[in-house]
Amino acid sequence: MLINSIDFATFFAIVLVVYYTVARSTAARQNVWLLAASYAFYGYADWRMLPLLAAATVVFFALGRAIASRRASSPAAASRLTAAGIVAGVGVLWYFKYLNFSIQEFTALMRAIGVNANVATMKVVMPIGISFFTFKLMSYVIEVRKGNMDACGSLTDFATYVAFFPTIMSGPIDRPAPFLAQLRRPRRFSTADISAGGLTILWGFFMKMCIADRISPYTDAVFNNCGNHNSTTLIAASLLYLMQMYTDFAGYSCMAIGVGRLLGISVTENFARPFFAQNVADFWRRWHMSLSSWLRDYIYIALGGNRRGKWRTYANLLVTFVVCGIWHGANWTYIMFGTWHGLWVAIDKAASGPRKRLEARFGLAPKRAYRMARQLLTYLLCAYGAMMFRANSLADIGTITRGMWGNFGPLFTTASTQLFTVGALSVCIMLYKEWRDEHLAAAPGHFMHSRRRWVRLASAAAMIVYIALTGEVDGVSFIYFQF
Amino acid sequence: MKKWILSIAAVAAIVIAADMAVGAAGNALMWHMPDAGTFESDLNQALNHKRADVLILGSSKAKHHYVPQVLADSLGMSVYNAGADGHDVAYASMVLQSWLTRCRPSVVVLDICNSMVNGDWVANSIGDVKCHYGANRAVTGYIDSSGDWRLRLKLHSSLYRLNGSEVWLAKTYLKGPLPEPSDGYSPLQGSDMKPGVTTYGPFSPSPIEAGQLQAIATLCRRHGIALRIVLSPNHEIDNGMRRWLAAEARRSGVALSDFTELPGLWADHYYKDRGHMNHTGAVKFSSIMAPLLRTDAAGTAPIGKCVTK
Repeated sequence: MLINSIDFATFFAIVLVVYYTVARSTAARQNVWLLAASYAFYGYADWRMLPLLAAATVVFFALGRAIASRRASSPAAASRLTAAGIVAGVGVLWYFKYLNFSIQEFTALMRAIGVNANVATMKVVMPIGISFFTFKLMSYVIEVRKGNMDACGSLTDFATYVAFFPTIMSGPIDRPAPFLAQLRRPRRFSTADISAGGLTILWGFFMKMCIADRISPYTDAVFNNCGNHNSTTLIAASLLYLMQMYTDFAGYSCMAIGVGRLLGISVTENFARPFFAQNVADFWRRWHMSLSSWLRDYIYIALGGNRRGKWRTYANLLVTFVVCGIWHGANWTYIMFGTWHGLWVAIDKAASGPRKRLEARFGLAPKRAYRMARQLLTYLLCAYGAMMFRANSLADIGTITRGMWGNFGPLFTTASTQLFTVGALSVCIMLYKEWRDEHLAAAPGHFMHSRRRWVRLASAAAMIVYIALTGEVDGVSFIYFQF
Repeated sequence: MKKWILSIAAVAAIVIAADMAVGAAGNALMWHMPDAGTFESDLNQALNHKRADVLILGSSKAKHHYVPQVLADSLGMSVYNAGADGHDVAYASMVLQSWLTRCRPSVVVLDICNSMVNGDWVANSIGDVKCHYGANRAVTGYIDSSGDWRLRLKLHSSLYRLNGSEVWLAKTYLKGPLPEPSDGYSPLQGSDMKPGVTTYGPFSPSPIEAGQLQAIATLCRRHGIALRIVLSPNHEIDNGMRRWLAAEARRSGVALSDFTELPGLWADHYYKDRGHMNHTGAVKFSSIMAPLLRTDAAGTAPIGKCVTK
């Protein structure tokens, strides 16, 4: 069920009431209830995958305890068990997500070298959220092995961490230590949590329904027929698709964080105003932070990070971002997406020295025009990457890229009358809020976060009315559900 | 805690008040929407205002294939084309029911195509007319009978009901009324016709649409209205649907004219695309339809309260 649906609202109302009444006496009771709710939520989406989720949870729980018990006495054995956990996690991910892609590419490669290979693909149903919960599981065994946390003593708590319903479908990817620590204490009803959680959910609804879902018909119409649009339209659609990706995914993250807050649980933030990034590396420090930090900690640093010389650093960055691309899905377009970003992060790393010298020489860094120019350039580079992400095939990436030059004409506008009117207004509202959060963090809050109660109430009411009147209220699915 | 509960109540009160205000303003704006010839204003006119002796119902094929002026000149009766792009038999039924609260036409032409009866467009009808829920009895009745309790619950909110309408309402008012009252027809000019025909796989009628087709037939019989089901000329051939429709028409005792492959209107230059005739084709087709409708009208009881142009 979609998190922005009546079904979810009904489900969650029941969960919340029981959580703070019947189950409130102990953390254990609350966790049992949360676990039951999480499995019910996941099973509602696809009950066939519940055994996989349960089995993976039990296996990694046991692994964690085995690793912790051998960490001091037999580090090599602990490392082997950790490696087994990583292999198991990657193996599960590969089987469900990449098996058919691997078979198809293997077949194509064989044919290319003249070998007639005919390996049939398999009917494999990809479990929803598999990319997210396998990363949680692998993160857990690695953290236990490193000694950063003790193995979780309660299977219920661990299973709740893995299956936590607000985040199982599309993240954020919570780290085990801080999340499990929260589960060890009972969560008391707090009006502050309810208010904060409610406002966060409301903002998530706004981003998803008033912006992402208004852009979606337009980008679908353009990208699904990319050969028949002019340069103006292709460029506009690429620029809009990055906005759509952000508001769709950040909107979901806000809803998940808000729901967690209503349950008294702090879920990790996933976005920090990426459109104010000064370069692609900065973009990834603000975009899908739970994934980018996971990749940094477990891939980039494991490969040596920046400790093995500059060329190895660039290679490590590229590999990390290719893995990021692959994580998103079994398609060359995602690999291209990852490679594109990796290249620009590496280029920025290589150019940072000369850039800083230039900035110092001409006093550029504090100049607003210079900063805005860098933000714009970063947006353009990331929008091109977003186009690769959205394109249906490598051929389409080529078609769109070629189509972006030399065929300028009137902008295609018929697919979404809402987009260029109220959609544009919604984007302005969002950018204004983010600009304030970026530049005036220390200033008194505004609108829904104002110090004046009547301003807060009126703003929240106005936001609800605005969403109901102009948002896409009939429940469009989320982009990141497919991962 | 008390302050917090009062805050929640205050927000809820503001939202409910806004909902009521938007509902009142929206209803007034919708009712007085000018006859601007836009898609939404045509829906509004068909559902709530227009009257004519001959009513054309259907989807885009109806909209672009029947020229009211040609029919009116030949028949000496007023004609209105209530065809709507992407709309199904259920929508046609809503229009007819609404029409009958204002006047009783002599003849109803129901132009049918594949997508109108296979269930593809069920959602369109609800999506485009939900703004009339509560104000139009036929629309309210149809949605209430759809069995979707979530939709009915949401439609109690004016904000949901009028969701997405602010842009087209503004556009319609800015455009203003047409110099002459619209007759609903929308001509297609030129030709982008690709040679050949489009064929379909096995046909499976939607129970909802089949039920609405029977409802239209029953309504016309009860009110003494001559109903003619027409498959107007086009290059999208669905033989399964044609056989099914012929059987339905026989069962209901309704006249059926299958002009799908009409020889005199097969040439490509009569078509905008495979599914739709252009204005040249529509004029010729309307002149072919006129004698049939004259015969139909002659068989009906004296005309009701419809206004003659």
